[in-house]
Order: sequence, then C-alpha cells, then structure tokens
Amino acid sequence: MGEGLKNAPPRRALSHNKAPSITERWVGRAILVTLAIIAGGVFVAQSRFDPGKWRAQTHEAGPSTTPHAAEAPATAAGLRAMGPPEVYNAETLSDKIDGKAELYLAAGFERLETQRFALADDPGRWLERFVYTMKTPPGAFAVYSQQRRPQARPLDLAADAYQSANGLFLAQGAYYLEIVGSDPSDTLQTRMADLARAFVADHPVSRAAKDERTLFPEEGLVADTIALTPTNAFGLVGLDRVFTADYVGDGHRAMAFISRRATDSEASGLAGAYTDYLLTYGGQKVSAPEGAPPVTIIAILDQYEIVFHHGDLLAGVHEADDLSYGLALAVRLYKNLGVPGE
Amino acid sequence: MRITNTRRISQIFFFTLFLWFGIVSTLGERFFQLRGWPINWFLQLDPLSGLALLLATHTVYAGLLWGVATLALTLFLGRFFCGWLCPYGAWQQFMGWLGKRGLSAPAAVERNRPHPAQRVKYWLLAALLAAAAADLVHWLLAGVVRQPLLLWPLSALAVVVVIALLLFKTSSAFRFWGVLLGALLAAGLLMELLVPQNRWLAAALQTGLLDPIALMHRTFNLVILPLADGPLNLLSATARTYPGAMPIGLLFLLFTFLCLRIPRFYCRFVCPLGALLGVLSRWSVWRIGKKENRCADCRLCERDCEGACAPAGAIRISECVLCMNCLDPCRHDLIGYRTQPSAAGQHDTPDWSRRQVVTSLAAGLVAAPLLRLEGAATVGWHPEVVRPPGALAEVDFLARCLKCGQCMRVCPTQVIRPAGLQGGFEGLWTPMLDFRVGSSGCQLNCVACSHVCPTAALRPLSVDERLGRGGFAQAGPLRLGMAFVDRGRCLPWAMDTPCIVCQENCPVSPKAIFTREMWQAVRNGRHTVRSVTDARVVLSAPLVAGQYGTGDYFCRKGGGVPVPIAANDAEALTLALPPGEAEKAIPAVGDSVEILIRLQQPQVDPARCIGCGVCEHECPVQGRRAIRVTAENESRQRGHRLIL
Amino acid sequence: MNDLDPQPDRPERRWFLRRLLRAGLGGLGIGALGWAFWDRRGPQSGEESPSNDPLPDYSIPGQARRLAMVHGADRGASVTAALAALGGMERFIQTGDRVLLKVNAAFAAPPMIGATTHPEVVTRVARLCFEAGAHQVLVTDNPINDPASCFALTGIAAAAQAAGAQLLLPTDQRFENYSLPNGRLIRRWPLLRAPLRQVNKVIGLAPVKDHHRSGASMTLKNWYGLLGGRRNIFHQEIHTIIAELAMLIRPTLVILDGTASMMRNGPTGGSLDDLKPTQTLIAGTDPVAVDAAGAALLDKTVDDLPYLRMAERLGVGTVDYRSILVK
Repeated sequence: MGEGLKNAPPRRALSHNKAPSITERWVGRAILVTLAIIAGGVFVAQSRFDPGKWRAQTHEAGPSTTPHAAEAPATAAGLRAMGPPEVYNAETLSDKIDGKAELYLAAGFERLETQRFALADDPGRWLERFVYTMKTPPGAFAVYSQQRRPQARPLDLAADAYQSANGLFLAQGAYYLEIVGSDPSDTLQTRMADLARAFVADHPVSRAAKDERTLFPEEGLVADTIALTPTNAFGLVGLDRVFTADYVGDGHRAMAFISRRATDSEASGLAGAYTDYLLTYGGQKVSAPEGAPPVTIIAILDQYEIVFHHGDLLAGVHEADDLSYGLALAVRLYKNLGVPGE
Repeated sequence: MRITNTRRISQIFFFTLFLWFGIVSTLGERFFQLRGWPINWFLQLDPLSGLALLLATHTVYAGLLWGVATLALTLFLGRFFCGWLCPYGAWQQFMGWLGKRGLSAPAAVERNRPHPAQRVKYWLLAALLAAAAADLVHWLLAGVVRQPLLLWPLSALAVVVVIALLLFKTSSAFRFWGVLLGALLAAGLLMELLVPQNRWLAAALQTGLLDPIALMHRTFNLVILPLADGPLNLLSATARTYPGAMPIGLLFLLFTFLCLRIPRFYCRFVCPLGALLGVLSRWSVWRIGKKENRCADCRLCERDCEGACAPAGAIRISECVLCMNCLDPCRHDLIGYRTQPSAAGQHDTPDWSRRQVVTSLAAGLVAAPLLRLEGAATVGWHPEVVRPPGALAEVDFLARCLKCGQCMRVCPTQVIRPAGLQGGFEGLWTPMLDFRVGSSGCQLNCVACSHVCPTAALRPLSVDERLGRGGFAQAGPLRLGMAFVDRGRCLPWAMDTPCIVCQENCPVSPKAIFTREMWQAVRNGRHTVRSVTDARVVLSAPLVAGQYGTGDYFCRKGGGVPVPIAANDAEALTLALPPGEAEKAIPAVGDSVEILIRLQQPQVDPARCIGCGVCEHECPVQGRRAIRVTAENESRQRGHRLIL
Repeated sequence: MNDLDPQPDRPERRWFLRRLLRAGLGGLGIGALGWAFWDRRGPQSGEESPSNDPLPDYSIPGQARRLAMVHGADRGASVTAALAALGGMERFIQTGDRVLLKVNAAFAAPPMIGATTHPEVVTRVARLCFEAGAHQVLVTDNPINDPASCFALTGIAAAAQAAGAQLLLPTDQRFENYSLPNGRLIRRWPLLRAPLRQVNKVIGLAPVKDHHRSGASMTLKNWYGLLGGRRNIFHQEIHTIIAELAMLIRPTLVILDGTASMMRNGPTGGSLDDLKPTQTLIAGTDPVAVDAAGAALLDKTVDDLPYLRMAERLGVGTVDYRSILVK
C-alpha cells in the first residue's frame, strides 16, 4: 500500500480534480433521459386501469359527495337507518350500480341517493332505498319502464309503480325510486310500501304532464307495456325519446311507437331517416292499400314496419307480424294523434 | 455531470419510485391510490423472482418477463441493477456512507477489501435455485419418460457423454460440468422411470426470503408503513397490525446496522440476486478495468468501492456493482469503464470452488423434500392457515409465493397477515387471513389481492368468479374456509345470554348463519307467586331490579305458555300480557312460576358459508372468538371438502 | 489515433467483438427462453377438466344379463356350481385375459367373522380364471385399516398366493384423480386406477353384510374400495355414491357370497353371533340384480336399499333379479 493513501486528499477535493469527459457527460444525459422516459412510462401506466378488476365497495371507499339534507326523504316508522345516506353523481354512479349506469346516464341521470334501513324489530331484515333524480319526468319514466319486471304486481301508490318479490319500484315526477329488500317476506313488503308512500307524499307531482303516453289507443294495448326508450330506439342513432307500447289482437302482435319532436320538419325528416335505415338493412317497400292514411310500409324479416308523421309527432308500428293487423293499429294510432277531418 | 452524480440521481429516482409504489398501494382511484400504478415493477424487474418461478412452475407469469430485460442488460453492462436501480442497494449504500463518514482513507479502504465470505451469497443462490428447480426437472423428465422415443436415446446420450468426457482429455471445467449434468440427467431419468411419483423431486420456492426486492417490499409493507402511518392514518383508517412482523423488522434493522460497519453488507455477503447478476456479469461487455498495469498503488480507488471488488488490482468482475466510485480518484486516470479486460488482470468468475457449488446445489435439492416432510402442505395442513381468495392449492401456492406482502398491503380491511410457522417452515411470511386483526372480514366483492399478486400465487379472480355469479354460477362462490361456532364460548350457547351478532353481520345472501330459538330456564329462576295485581306478579324471593326487563325474559306458570316480562323491580314482575288472553296467562297466588330466557343460538350452514370471517371479526367474545373460520371446506383444495 | 497507439489494437477489438456477440446471443437466448415460457394469464381455476380416458366397460359385450343362485355350505363348491349355471368361467374369461379380482378386505379381521371376502372364494375364483386361460390374475382393494395387515389377517394374501394370483397393495402412486362422466360426487377424486389399467376383465367378490349407513354392503358397495382420499366424506350421501359406483365399474362378473351373512353390527361385525348361515351364493353379470337378490338374505327388501333403485334409474342394472335368474 503506497503512502499516497496516507496523505490522501479529502474526497471533495478528489472528485473535482478533473472535469468529466465529454463521453461521461453524454452518458449522464442519456441516463437522465432514460429515467425521464421511465417516469413517463410509469405515469402513463397508472392512468390505464380497470377499477372493476379489484374494486371493493367498502364504506370507506364510498361516494365523495354528501347528501343534501333538505332533500333527504322521510323515513317510515319501524325502520332504523343502518348508515348515512350515500350519494352518487354521474361520474361515480357506476361505483354503485356498475354496468347498469349506462341506462341511467342515457336517460338524463342527475344523482342517486341510497340508504339502507333495518327493521327496528328484526334487525336481520333490511332494505335499501335508491332514489334516482333524473333531469326530466320522462327520464324517470324511461328508466322505470325499461326495467319493469314482467311478473310484477302493479301498485296504486303512484301513477307508475309496481312490486316484485323483494322490491318496489316507482316513477314519480323526475324521481325513480327503487326499494330492494333483503328477503321476500311480507313484513318487508309492508315496510317497503310505507317507505314508498312516505316518499310519494314528500315529492308531490303537480298533475301528471300530458305526454305521448295518452295518445296510444286503448284497444289491444297490453297492460304495463308502455315504455320510453331515451336513445337509439330500434337501433337507429338519433331516434331518441320514443314511447313504445305492445299490442295484441286476433292472434297477432305489434308494437306502436310515438315520439314528439321539436318541430314538424324534424318529425318528417326523422320518419324519412328511419325509412331509409330500414331499406338499407334489407327492407322492401309495400304499397299502402287504398284509403289508408299517408303511411310508409316496409316489409323486413317477415315483419312489417309502418312509419308516418303528423305535425311534430313521429309515429308508427314496429315489428307487426301481420300486415293487416299492423295497418289497423296504425290507423287507430293515426286517429288518436288528432288528425282532423276524420 | 459526473457519472457518480448520475448514479446518485438514478438511485434516488428509483428509491423514491419504490417508496411511491409502496404509498400508492392503497385501493382506490385517486392519483395517490392504486389506479394503474405498476407497483410490482421492481419485483418484475428482479430476475431472481422470474427465474425461481420459471424453475418452480415452468412458466414466467405476466410481468415477470421484465426480468429478461434485466438479465439481457446485465450481459452487456454488468451489475447495473445493484448499483443503479436496487432500492435496497441504495439504502445500504446510504447507511454505509453514514458509517464511513470521518474515516481516514486507509480505514475506509480497509472496509472495502474483498472478503472470502462474499462467496456465501453464491452458495445461497445455488441452494435457493436448486430447491426451486426440482419441479422443472421433474416436469421435463416426466415428459421425457412418457415418450419412449425420447427416453432411451436421451439416456444413452447421457451415458455416452459421461463416458466420453471421462475417457477423453477435455478442459477440466468442461469435463466437470459435463459429468455432473450427465450423471444428474441419467439419475433423474432412472428415478422418474422407476418411481414415478417419488418425493425427491419436490420444489420449494424460498428465494423470497432473501430476495432484496421482496425483502424490501415486505419490510416496507409490514413494518415501515404501519409504523409511519400509525399516527398519521393517511393510508388506512385504522392502525395496521401484523402479527409476526417483528422478526421481519429486526432482520431489516440488523442488516441496516451491519452496513454501518461494512458498506453494502447484504449486497456483498447475502444477496442472492446480486449473486445471480454477478455470475452473469462474467460475460459482460463493458466492465471496470485499468488501462495500464503500472500504478502508484495508492488504492484511493478502493476508498468508496461499494462492491469490494478490488479495482486497484485484479478486479473481481462478479463483485463490481458499477458504483463508478473508482473512476475519479485515480490521479493518473488509469481506471475506466471499458470494453477491454483490465490491464491489471481480472477475476471473471465468482470466488467459489466446484465443491462448494455442488454442496450448495445438493443442499438445496435435499432441502425441498425435507421441508415437505413436515406435511404442512399436504396431510398435515394447518386449519388456521386460511389463504386469501384466489390462492392456488397449497403446493402450487408455495411454488409461487414470494412473501413480498403486496397482498397484505393492498387489502382494504387489512385482514391478511404474514404467517408464522403455522403453515410449516415453507410457509413462513406467506399471507394468511387473521380475522382478529384488520377492520372487518374479507370483503365479499373485493378481489384486489388476487390482482396485486405479482406471481399469481393468488390467481387473478373476477368478482363474478368469487361470488359464483354469471359464468361461474355452476361452480358456486369461492370458499376461503368455514366458520365453526364454539359452543363452549358462544354467549347464547354457553352463557344463556342473547347475542346474534354473527348472524346479523353475515354478508352472504341468503345468510350462512341462522339461528334456532331456544327457551332456557334462568339460574335461580323458580319462584312462588305471593300476590297478583293486574299484570304485577309479586314473587316469594327478592329480585334484582330491572334484571328481567330487557325483553328477552318470559314468565311461565306450570306448563303454560311463556308470557313476556315487561319490567321488574325488587319484588315483582310486570308481565306484558297478550291482549285477550290475560286471564289464562296470569299466574294465581301460590302458583310456582319459572323465569325463562328466549335465546337464538347461531348455527352455520356449511352449504352457504364462504369463510369470509366477518362473523369472527365481529364476535363480541374478543379473545378467542366464539365463532372462528378455519380452512375446512376451502374451494382451493378439494381434499379439504367438508360436505358434498 | 490508431497510428499513435503504441499497442496493436486488433486483439482487443477482437476480444470486444467476441464479447459483444456473446452478450447479444445470450440476451436473445434469455429473451427467447422467457418468451417460450411466458404465461400471460396465470393459472386458471383447477376445476373440472373431465377425465379424458374414462374407465372401459369390462362386461362381455353381447351377453344378456344373467344371475345364478346356488345354495350350500361349501363356498368353493357353490362358486363352481354358480359359474357352471352361468355357462362356465370360459364364457367370461378367455385365453390371455388379465383379470382383476376386487375383493372386500376392508378390515383387519379374521375370515370367519364375515367382514371381508372369504379367502376360499378368492382361491376358487382365481383358479377358475387360470383354468379358463387367464394370463394374469390381480387381487386388490383399498382397505380401511392398514392394507398389508388387512390382506394378511383376512387370509386373502395367502389365498391369492396359493392360487398364483398377484396381490397389489394400494400404494400412493397407484391412485389417479378421476372424474366420472356425468358423475356428481366422483369428480377429480383419487381412484385406485393402476390395477384397472393392467387388466381387461374385472370380477367383484363381496360378502353379504349389514351396513349401518347404507343398509347393506354387497357387490355395489364393494367398489367403494377403489376410491382413495378422504372418501368417508361420501357417507353424507351414501346412496348416491353407491349408485355412482355402479356407473363407475361395469364388471365382467360379480360374486356375492352369502354362505354366511352378517345380519347386524355391520360393516365390521366382530362376533360370530352376528352371522347367519344363509347358505346362498349369487353370481351374475348385473351387480344391481345380484344385490337385489342378496337383500333378501339380510331380511331386507329392495326398498330398504335406496341405492338399488337409484342405480336402476341410472340404467346400470335391474332390481328385478328374477327376470334374469338362470334356473
């Protein structure tokens, strides 16, 4: 070991005894650039993720917005809140109801407030109340009508209300209310009805707005099948806010539809667009019989589509399995639109 | 900029990145939460994990392919991972620097002299990899044995090669390895052929014990974070508790302190990852070396040598961690990072002897079957070891788990803890559920741990699969274990005290816990009626006021119906009379009455219970819970089925 | 620059290039290896890859179901007589056949208490097989007690040896996980498969025993001894498992030895008092019918043994044994 070591200069002096070479500087820069690229890569990676993969819906990880105290709906007797209400907005809705969020978002969703209640006398039984606030009453009717369970029992709580084995569903104004119980017992059913009644009383509607629903002819109408499709009805982009209703008669079935557009020209334009759409997908025009209203008839896939417009209304018959039945329905519908001179 | 400064920046960068990954491993979508942060990137870059898993499972799982990049780059550059990237290396280097401060140059050089014990890490590497390798050997050989067209030619080839190597003059190293491999192949084939299901070729993955990245994650997740976050509660609402974390912390502390005395103690003597990269760096293209062999022998270049690789003399390439601290101090500019061999000579290969390597390999090969003798993964399985959802069957699980603690870190309810020796030595620090710690049981609709696991020891699950919904309806929900009521401790079973907390909290629908109603005569509850006024029944013996007014107590005369007790004072009961039946229910003076308590005794339905442990977590019998989940009936091992 | 260098650079350059090439190839090799073993998805749930080599049907194709019932106190003679009634062993065993005798050796108990297949039956059947030209006769069972002692104490080991049959102990490596096609209980369950792989004929030899859980243990329950693992879990659904066993093994022949029947305290028995000299031996190709006939020996009816009708519904036999009885 040389004596150089014993008289070694301090480290600091050592490391500055010569300037770094050009190569050293460039290598250093290249490495720093690499680090920056890595940092960028990590940053890009963190933004690409699917929370559905690992999500746990614990209370801590719950919603961020707090409920509006003024809007908190009344509870009913015999129920004890199991926790504070949770509120979801358009961004967080899928946290609560996952993929079903699309349905609500398309129909003009504003907020959802949920809360669980246990029966005060039987805490093992509980129910959860979902209050969806939509932008418009038709939005509420749209989500209500699209999810209507076929084996449901209609209720007279509100204009649109029904009960399933363990749930209660109603549309009231711009609200869509769901109450889901932990089991299908009678006790829970009663409490659900109480809760729903309280809600309806708390959110009165000023006279149901007159909308397209009243225009569907009575004859042959299948009960509880009027529904509202908020967007892309029948697969046609742009055909939105369409009310539909199922009809049966003479062993045939068909669906009537009505949609009120902003202007007369929009209604006629959309009727044309729908006709073109059907023709593109293999439809064949069928000439209307003598004396029929001014309708367009298209045969497609062994079924018949009848389209017409009147004023700002677009209407027609969808998937009629028999031409004469469909045409008869179209005529009745046409009359209901208030065609003068009949 | 000097290269050493660049290195420091790189080390700080990666160390910070490591800490950041540790912090963001909280379930959630805010920027400081899990999102898509590649929190396992260090484990994936670590080729030791990848290689060991390749050996133990003959697959390279998903992100572990990153290890290929590290290995390939090492072939060009040397041990850049150790000196520039490894967060544990950076930590040790920092501690070593602290320990060296104020030291004279000769004393500092003394600390960085190569030490014979540096070969220990190669032994460890050989033993750990050998322990993991048996399964690959078994897999390959079993494949060969099943194909007669391969078996006999291959056996013949092995014998011919061995004989040829023994007969003809070849280089001694070549002959040594050739004979060793040939003999092993022949022996392995013979064993596979004669004893197809022998227990010798068992694989045990234990690299995670010493792998620096796994060690770092484990220490951060189970020791540093719970301690740091304890008072802050930024990352979890409740303080984290990890039984068994103490030895993990002590080990970390030990190596940290040792660094004060010998810089990078772990890297030099223990680290099997460093050893793996060291073995590879013998082929590296760029390496530290001297331009000329004449020098003043001042040894200043060794003052801060991190790897103790003696750059002043014949450099030990496999020990060099590329700290570059030797470049500047040389006043004659003799040392460089070059593509030529050092003019002062170099030791390419690690300082090991063949005998040592063979001994280590043999030790590893024997260790795996020895560990299995405990039977903890097979017949001797410990029912307390309830594994997180997605865990593979125990033997496959052990072949993958690195004990890194990522699942324990991410668990939103913090119910996953490191196992002690419950699952055998092999299962040390592997994840198990402990429903006494944490903020709840294992959440039904959470599969975070299975997605975080870097090695698929917990295979990625969907919530649908976990709950047995959708396409998994046939298979049913995933069961982690099953809850058992301890009737000797359960309040309604053992102490005539109403309690159905477990039933109330059972999250399964329909509930896996149900209750049976039961009438129990209370202690000293038989009395004679002295007088009756309306519903007030005065009894012969004094009562504790209010004792029976809880709504759970009933009064029964003779063999009649029990009548609820509304309240009581020191001498009388007030009955809550059913309307209309008051006459029949009220005891008469002189009647003997009995006070009963109505109990609901919890029962577990084995067909419904999924072992989530919420009941155990909530059970009010706090010490040893009166309802406990054990691994019986867990889905991952059909043999643990309890019911059909 | 090169000109000024006093040392020739060629060897060093060559050294460098060689290293570069080696590192490049090494990197590519490692990459290729990693790629070859890359597993993007991770292990999937181990559930249900149904067995792709189901057990064969060991019954003689084209033969109608038949059943013979003989009476007598001499087991050997009864076996011979019953087989003669069925047309002789030659109808079942041909030259070169390898035959498995599935005995009931469940307990380490002496032959006289009737808890296990009587050694005399084993010897006689094995000899008949060899006389019919069998190349090899194997004897096996997975008993409840220690296998070696079971075979020794029941006298079956000695009986097999005397007849030249080979005894196979149920060692770990002779089991394979098996899933019964359309089975509900036998799924990925260890089955004593190795002996079954070695043979092309299977003969079941069972005593008539009371069985506490299932009602009676005869030729169908005897197949239980081919299951491994913690099979007692199946006692939760004993009738279903016996019916599935009837689907699992379609034997060449079964012989039910009711020379003395264990009337109570089954299946272990333990006392000679539990035995009744019913002096009947039943042989047949349909285990369901044979067991249905054997039920009478235990003073039971078909309705006392629900697994019989379950097996019949699964299409593996008939409980109406009289319809196939050979007179």
